Amino acid sequence: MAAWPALAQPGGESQIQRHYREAETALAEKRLDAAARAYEALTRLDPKTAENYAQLGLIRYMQGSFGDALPAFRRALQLKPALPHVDVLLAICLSELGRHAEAEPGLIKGFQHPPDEATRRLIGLELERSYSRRKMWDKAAQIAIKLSQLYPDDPEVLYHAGKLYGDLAYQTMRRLSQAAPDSVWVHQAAGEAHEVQGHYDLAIVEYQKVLALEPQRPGVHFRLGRTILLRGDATSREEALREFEQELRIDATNVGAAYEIGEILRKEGQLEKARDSFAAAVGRQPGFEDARIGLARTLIELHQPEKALPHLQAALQLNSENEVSHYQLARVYQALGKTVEQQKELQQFRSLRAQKRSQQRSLVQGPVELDDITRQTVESNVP
Amino acid sequence: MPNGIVRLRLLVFLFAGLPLLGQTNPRDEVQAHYRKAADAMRLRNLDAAAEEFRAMIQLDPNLAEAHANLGGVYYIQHKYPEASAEFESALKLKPELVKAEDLLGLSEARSGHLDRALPLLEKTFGRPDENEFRREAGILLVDLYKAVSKPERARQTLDALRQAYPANPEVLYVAYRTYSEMASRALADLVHAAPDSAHLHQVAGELLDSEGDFPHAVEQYQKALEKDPSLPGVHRALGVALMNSSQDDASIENARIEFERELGVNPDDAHSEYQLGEIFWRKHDADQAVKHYSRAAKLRPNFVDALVALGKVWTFQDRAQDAANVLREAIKIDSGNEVAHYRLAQAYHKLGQNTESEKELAEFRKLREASASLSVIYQQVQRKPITEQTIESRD
Repeated sequence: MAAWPALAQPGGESQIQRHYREAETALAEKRLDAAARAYEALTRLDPKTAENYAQLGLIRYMQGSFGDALPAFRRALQLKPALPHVDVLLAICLSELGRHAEAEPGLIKGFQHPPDEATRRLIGLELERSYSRRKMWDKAAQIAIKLSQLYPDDPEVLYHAGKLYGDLAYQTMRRLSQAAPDSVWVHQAAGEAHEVQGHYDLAIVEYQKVLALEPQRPGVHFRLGRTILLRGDATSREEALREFEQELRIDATNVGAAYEIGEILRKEGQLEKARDSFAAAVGRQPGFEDARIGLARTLIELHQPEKALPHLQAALQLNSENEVSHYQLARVYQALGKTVEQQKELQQFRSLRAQKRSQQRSLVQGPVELDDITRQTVESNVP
Repeated sequence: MPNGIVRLRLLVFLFAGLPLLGQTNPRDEVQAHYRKAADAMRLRNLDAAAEEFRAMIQLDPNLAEAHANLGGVYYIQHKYPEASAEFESALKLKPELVKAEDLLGLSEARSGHLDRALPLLEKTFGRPDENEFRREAGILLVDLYKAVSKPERARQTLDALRQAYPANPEVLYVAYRTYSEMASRALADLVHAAPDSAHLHQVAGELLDSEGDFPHAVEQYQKALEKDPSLPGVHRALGVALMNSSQDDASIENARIEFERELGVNPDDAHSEYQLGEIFWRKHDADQAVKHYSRAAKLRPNFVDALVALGKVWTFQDRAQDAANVLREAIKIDSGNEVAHYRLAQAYHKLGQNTESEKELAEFRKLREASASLSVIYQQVQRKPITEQTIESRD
């Protein structure tokens, strides 16, 4: 609230002036209780001055005493309806007190015509919360999106947006479970939720239920293959390969399945076959970054670095911050005898890797964040 | 996210567009292939149907409907690039084939040609009259807007879809996935924007909380408070995590201190008042519990758990009529709250209203059954800002 513009103070009698001085000093020293007492005295001595009530309300607001701030703001507006910003502060107090319907018009007005950016952000967060509490999810999401666009790096905005969307996901899942409890959609969603939580056996059961209801359903064999891979049993690769191949029989355009087949074959040393699978994925979807990298590293293994080069360049055009692309490109330059370029790429790789390690990704996984494919990584022995 | 049901239905419409063919010799041959294609479709023999449509095109390459139908077959077979080529041929010959245009958009989207798909899907989804491709176009549009970083358009389309098809399982599934992805993205952005912020520790604490890892949740909340001691809600969250991590007196006392601190930062925090009520209830001090629960309910209208808690204590204090009133109010706000139904059954039982009590118990059992599987699966998105009202094991 430090950014809130100071409210005007009128003149008055000497006793009044003494209270003003006390209030000003207390505010400057951040002694909010003393400041509030001084303004309370002023409202008694000078009950017709709207600014005194507004200032008292503001102090109560800063103390988090929204219930006490409310009557002060109301009285201020009664005395002087045009007093700037007080209607917005009143709306925030109402919202803080859970009186969301009453708060809404003032918050909307404040969000559309804010006195400054800091206030706009504050009102936006209040409005988002207010709509959420009233279960007006669509409106809450609208505000959350707007706030994320206005303040893309603001931790509080991002935090509340993440929470809201998580709640929305849960509410929707609840509705889906009620509307169609044994549908493919419920089983698919359940499978995905189990998968993301690492409950792979349960996820497999759910995906199998989907296939029992609709055997030709595109995408499910792919998900099943991914989950089997993630489970990581001794036979996982073989089983997963079968699922990916089955997926391609149902949906030849599933580039993810083609990619996964390539990745399994590459890891098993079947390089020509791996190359063909990756090439099929890239052919269908030229912007498939990991497939480009997979194809390139297979070509490197096949001693064709010159053919690998354009794929890595394309991958870096898609995403210049992928450490794996830089590392593989360094390998290509090494094979081509371009030492300067190799060193440059290695340096880039190390810097990106250090940056990535500093982020706490492992701590914060979203509620349902499926890894669509086996991501290209750098071998574990790379420092 | 392909949809088999729509795809099987679409051919009926495309066939209806086939013009009456003449009786002259090559035309007879075309007609014969058309009949064979129709038979193959009835038998769901898609390869054979495609063969017949191709034969028709070979005889008469200007037959727009044959191209459209062949495209339809390819679409069902997930051969989207091939389908697109046929729909394009059909539209060149006969631009008024609206359904071919709709399907071209769907095929382009499924082939990953976002730029080409976008205007076509928008056109299909924006058609005022209901058609069989509108829902599918809308669903693909949501994905497409997400892919091109237009979250607001994705949300608007999702809203329109949910309004048009409120109980459609596929639409609900798409909504669920969309929101989940948006949540993940917001959190990933938070990690990126502020990797050591108080909010990140707060969210880490909440995730650990939802996974039941309360000791580590406590650590994260404490780190959040080190960064920002006045961060709203974190003292309360810490208190709840402390209560969940241990039931011993010291933990409960520490939790109480945290709720008091939260009220120091935010005097009107209804959740902290409620939590204090919980602590007094556990200490068998019903009067103090009522005092805090009542203030919580007063501070936040529609605070269901506070109302249910009041109902619980008043039933215990032989104020069954007051309890029944407050529990009915809770059910009015959230009819799906199983605990409210259970407590109301108890209150009715005390009042001697056994029929009503049985009815509430039946509702409770139904809701509990429905929510059991859901709660296991979706632990991660069910964040619990407070100690929720539950049925004790002895109940």
